[in-house]
Amino acid sequence: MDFDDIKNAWKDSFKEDNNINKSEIETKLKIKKQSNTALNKIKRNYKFDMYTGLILAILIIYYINRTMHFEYKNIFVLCLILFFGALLSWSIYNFLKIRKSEISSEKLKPALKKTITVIERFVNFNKSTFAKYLLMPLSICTGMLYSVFQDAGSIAISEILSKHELIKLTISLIIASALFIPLAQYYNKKMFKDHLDELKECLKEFENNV
Amino acid sequence: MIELKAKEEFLLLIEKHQGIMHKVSKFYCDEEECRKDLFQDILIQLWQSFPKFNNQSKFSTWMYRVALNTAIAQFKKEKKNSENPVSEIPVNIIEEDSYSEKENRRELVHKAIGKLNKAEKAIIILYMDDYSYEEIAEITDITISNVGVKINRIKSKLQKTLKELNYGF
Repeated sequence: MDFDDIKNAWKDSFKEDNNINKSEIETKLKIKKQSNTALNKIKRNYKFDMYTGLILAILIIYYINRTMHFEYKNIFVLCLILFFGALLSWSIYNFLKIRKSEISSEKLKPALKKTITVIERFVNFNKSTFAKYLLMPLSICTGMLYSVFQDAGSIAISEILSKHELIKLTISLIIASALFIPLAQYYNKKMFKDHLDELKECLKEFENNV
Repeated sequence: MIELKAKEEFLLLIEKHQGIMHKVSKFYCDEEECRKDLFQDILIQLWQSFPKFNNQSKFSTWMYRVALNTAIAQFKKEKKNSENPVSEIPVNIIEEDSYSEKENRRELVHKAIGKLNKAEKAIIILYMDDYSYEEIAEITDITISNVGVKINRIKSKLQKTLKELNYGF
């Protein structure tokens, strides 16, 4: 089997392509369609995190401030501000790192390396020390504090939180963190892992020297 | 004014070289919807990257770079055809009256190419489009000797798959 024959068959298949004219190209350019490349998808994800984080923060803090009345409301609102502040700063920090990444006109191998780095950074979001040991436990802790403060009402915390209860809460916090961290990692991996593996395989093929 | 001029220049160049976008979309997508999306995505990436085009390379070379980068980085919802074993690909297409022998061959070539991985597709598409080893090395950033070896390997792979598909028997 001659390869030129294969090549010609391949070339023939494009002869009948419906070429579009200049105005059709211009129209296609005007249509705002979401890009399906990994980089753009991740940029959208970071933006989504930022906006939902901000909206949720405003709504929750507003709701608690207006409708809830308990002794430690101010401390709790402060905890919420801290938590959402940390979450938003983290998302903004990551987004800014890739905001200007434009890799599509680079050579294939370096462009692929950059794409892999960006995806890995996103997939590892929950693996980072900050997210793992601070952000995640902080969010669970905030939730716990909310129920404790609400239960307490006007009673002093020391009256309902005995040493024994405090140990129980700490253990629950550790267990909840230990459960939620792998869950969040699994979700991220499920979203991007296959694609990441495929890209790594592709890079290996480019790097595979003779 | 400058932007309008740039846009006009861009549209003319794209109109002239749009075959590259058709080829890449067809190479990396099995379904029509996916092809249309990828075509659009490549077009947008080209427009966004156009200010960086500095005439150091041919427009078609630069265009291939952008198109292939977009195609490689695109997310696939499902990997139907690439995971199909060869035996599942219909080989009796030639028996159907509506298919001429030529059409059948084209179909089989595309099926065989569909079984290559993303990197192999990028290299062979450039080779099929008569790019030299030097140019392929320049676009992909791999050595010329490596390009040669890879092309030979891909050719054998394609020939083997096509043989299994009864191409040109």
